[in-house]
Amino acid sequence: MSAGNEYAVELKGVSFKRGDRAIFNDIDIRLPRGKVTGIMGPSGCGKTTLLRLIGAELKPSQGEVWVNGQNLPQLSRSELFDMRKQMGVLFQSGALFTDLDVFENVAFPLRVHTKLPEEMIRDIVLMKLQAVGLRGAVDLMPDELSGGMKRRVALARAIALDPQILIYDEPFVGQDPIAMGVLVRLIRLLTDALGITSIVVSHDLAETASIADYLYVVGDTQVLGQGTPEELMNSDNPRIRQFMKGTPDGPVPFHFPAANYREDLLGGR
Amino acid sequence: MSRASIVEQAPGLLLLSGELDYRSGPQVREDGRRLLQASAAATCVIDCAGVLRASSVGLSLLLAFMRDAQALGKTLEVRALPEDMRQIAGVSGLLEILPLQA
Repeated sequence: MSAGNEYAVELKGVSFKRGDRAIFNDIDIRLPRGKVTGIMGPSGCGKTTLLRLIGAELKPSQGEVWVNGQNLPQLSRSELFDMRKQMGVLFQSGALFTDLDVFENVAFPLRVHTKLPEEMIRDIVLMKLQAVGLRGAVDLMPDELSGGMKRRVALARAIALDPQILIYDEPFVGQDPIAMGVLVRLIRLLTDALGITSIVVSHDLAETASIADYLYVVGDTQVLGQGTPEELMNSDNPRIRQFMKGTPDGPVPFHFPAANYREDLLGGR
Repeated sequence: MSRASIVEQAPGLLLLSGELDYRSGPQVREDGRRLLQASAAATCVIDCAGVLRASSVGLSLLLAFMRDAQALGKTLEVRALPEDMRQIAGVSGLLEILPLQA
């Protein structure tokens, strides 16, 4: 695989275990370059673990994780460090530094990873804030921002180094409808205009389906299904249907496995 | 190791070329400043036709050269902005600010 390959990220036969518990069992996932791919699934299905495998924070128990033509488990520490500069992550919480103003939050990766002079750091910070519509908030502190604004500042920081791959971890959680609409538009704009490969990990079905070019549904250690949002909406697979239609019970049971309720309440202990 | 450069090909005509990124940016910034200061021309043109690839650093370089020209009382124009720089300029709202030649 080369960097010119049509897939920016490929997981081949990946298994991952925590102790004896399998999180993924021999999964294959391919993320097309320059597109928005949604990774969906119920809470606790391993979506964040998947992101950590792609970011090489975790090593698979088995299998290969290729990012831009390099197999991550085989890279040295310094090669991994370089590789991570090609990836931006928008964390679920936004994760802004609360003691730094908006300017310094966005400037942070530029100061850590580059030797650019101050005037160029300023240009790039203002360019990124302009892109997310928050240049006017440059002097504010994070606690002066709304939840949606914090997420957008975090996005400006995530694109500060012009990553080729941008990972969004549950970007829509806790956002009001307007802020969600703004984020959806920004994800699409950054992907289309800058050719970024976007990975949106989310359980917010409507928003993710509205921007994703391609979707994976993961759960129960497997890839349950994949396809365009429309294909998955019309899937015959009962597990996919349950997830896409949002019904509480189905092949994925509402109840976590538990002991007999009557015995739990009335005795037997 | 020079991945990018700026040279004065003819009086007032500066050729920007190579890969404009975080590694090459600081040196090109300094070279461009020196060339603009030394040039006798009242109008300078930055020709970007030789740019192979550019990140936001490429746009910042153009902005930095615009500030230099302004301080020196010179006129600056930008020629042959490549597509990737144009896309970043579009997303960052710079298309109306850069002195692009028609």
